[in-house]
Amino acid sequence: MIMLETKNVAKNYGGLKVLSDVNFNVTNGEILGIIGPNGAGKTTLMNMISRLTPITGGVIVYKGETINDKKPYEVSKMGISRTFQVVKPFGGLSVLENVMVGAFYGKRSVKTKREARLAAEEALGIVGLETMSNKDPRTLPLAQRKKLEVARALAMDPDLLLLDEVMAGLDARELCDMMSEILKLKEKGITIIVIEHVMKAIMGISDRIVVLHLGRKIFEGRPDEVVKDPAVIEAYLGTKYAAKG
Amino acid sequence: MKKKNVISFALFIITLAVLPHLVSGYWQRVLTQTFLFASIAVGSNIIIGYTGYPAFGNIAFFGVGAYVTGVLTTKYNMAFVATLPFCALSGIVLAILLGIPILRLKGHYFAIATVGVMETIKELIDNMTELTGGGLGLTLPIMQGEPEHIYRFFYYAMLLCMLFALLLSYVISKVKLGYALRAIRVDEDAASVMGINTPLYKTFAWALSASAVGIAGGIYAYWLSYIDPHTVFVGTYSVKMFAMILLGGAGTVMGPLLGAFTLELISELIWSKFIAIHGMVLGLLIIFIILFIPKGMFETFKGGFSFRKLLTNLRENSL
Ligand SMILES: Nc1ncnc2c1ncn2[C@@H]1O[C@H](COP(=O)(O)OP(=O)(O)O)[C@@H](O)[C@H]1O
Ligand SMILES: [Mg+2]
Repeated sequence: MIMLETKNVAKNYGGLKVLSDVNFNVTNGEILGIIGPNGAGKTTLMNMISRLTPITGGVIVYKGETINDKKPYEVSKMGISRTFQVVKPFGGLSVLENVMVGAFYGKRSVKTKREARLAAEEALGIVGLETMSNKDPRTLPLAQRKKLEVARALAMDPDLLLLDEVMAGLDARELCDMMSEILKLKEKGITIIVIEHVMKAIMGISDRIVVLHLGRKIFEGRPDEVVKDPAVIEAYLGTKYAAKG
Repeated sequence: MKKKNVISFALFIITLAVLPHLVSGYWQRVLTQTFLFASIAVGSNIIIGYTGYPAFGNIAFFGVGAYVTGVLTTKYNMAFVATLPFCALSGIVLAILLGIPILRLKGHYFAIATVGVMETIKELIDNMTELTGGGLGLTLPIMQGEPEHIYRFFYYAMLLCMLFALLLSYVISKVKLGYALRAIRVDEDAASVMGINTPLYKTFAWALSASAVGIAGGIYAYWLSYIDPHTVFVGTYSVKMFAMILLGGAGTVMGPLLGAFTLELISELIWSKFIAIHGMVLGLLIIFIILFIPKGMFETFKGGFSFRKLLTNLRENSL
């Protein structure tokens, strides 16, 4: 079953065409990777799905319903959760409280502090931040702040999780760690869109990959196919990766 | 709340409750005035501190509350106490009506818009001569009884108003709503994708804030027994309220209360002798706060007072 579908989605900022005719879908339980060099329009696409940015053209359908006119807080109640590439922890709230916000107001929408705390502790446990509960999130190293973004999104009880470059800036060990966590989430039945500009990270975990270049989809297929595609190599990977691969 | 905090807060309230029996009428008046400002600061902190919307013109709700009591007691012969729910209601309704358009603005723009709103309401009331007496003002029914009795009445009325604002503020900080407001303060986009209906919650926060400020206005009007637009829509009250919130600590439950007590008592002890430079001292104080205790007294001196902390803050905050 199709969870999310974009039909001819386009985005302009004034005269600047950032995205044109983007079509893709995600099926239930799948991990879809979206890659493309910096400036390709990946974050913009995610901002449109999470309804932070107006959609210039086309339609986004989620669970069979057009969400073009929905607000961010409405789609999040429908089960769409996301992380931010530039992490946005709520300073002044502890790590645990940050995640509780997700449990209070996401699709889960619990009423009491006790329920929120339980859900938050569970989410922190999944990403391995349970010992950081009382810390100020601004004091955490980058890898942990990225995990906090994921925990916050998880506490909302999402059906569709959008991860915007959660693996960028991590060292090799942290990367492995994050990859195995994302696979764990898939096992829990969460549908995931992973956005990265680093190819390597996304290859191992995605079921399918969409390649964006200059605001257009130039490829869609299995990870093993993407590295062989001449257009992708030309536009994105360059000779460096091709030689290594 | 920790047990120690509960006990010290209880002691504080008990002290305030017995004080009128121990101090002179003059000091009762000073404390009544302090409770008044504490009510305004604590109430306004809900929108300013918790939610991060600098409602500089929040005094508008104070003025409207004062006129609600004024009009209801004079034109409709309503008993003073019965007017107070209407003061709260006037704040709530007005905040909802104003919030829908102007809570879209952020930062300075919002602050300026609230000042504009305050001036507009002041002009409107000035021109609604039939109902409000316009520039001539409105004389409220004067409370009957011994002066001593009257002093105490307003002392306790304002104390209760302050406790109402504190209770409201405390409860908000503890329940689900408080989490939404603090998330909105830090990052509205992030709050919104977490499922928080930001326009709704901002408006709700402003309405609650306005209810406390409106009640303070109503009590003030009856206390003064004469109001005109210039005595209740006072720009310097906005400055004072802001200084109190900053001094004590925006976004904390007790900070604005601490700020109000500190500023009001200091001003009574020292500045009343230098009325002419009142504004200048207030200005200097705000600069001092921003340089030395940007988080407010409550956060900065949690573990006790020290000059070291002041200096560390100065170093960290200087450009
Ligand atoms: N608010 C904005 N106004 C104007 N241009 C923008 C805005 N946001 C993004 N862009 C432009 O859109 C393009 C795509 O950006 P983005 O979606 O962030 O790319 P990616 O996430 O793939 O690196 C870039 O050229 C960027 O400069
Ligand atoms: Mg991006």
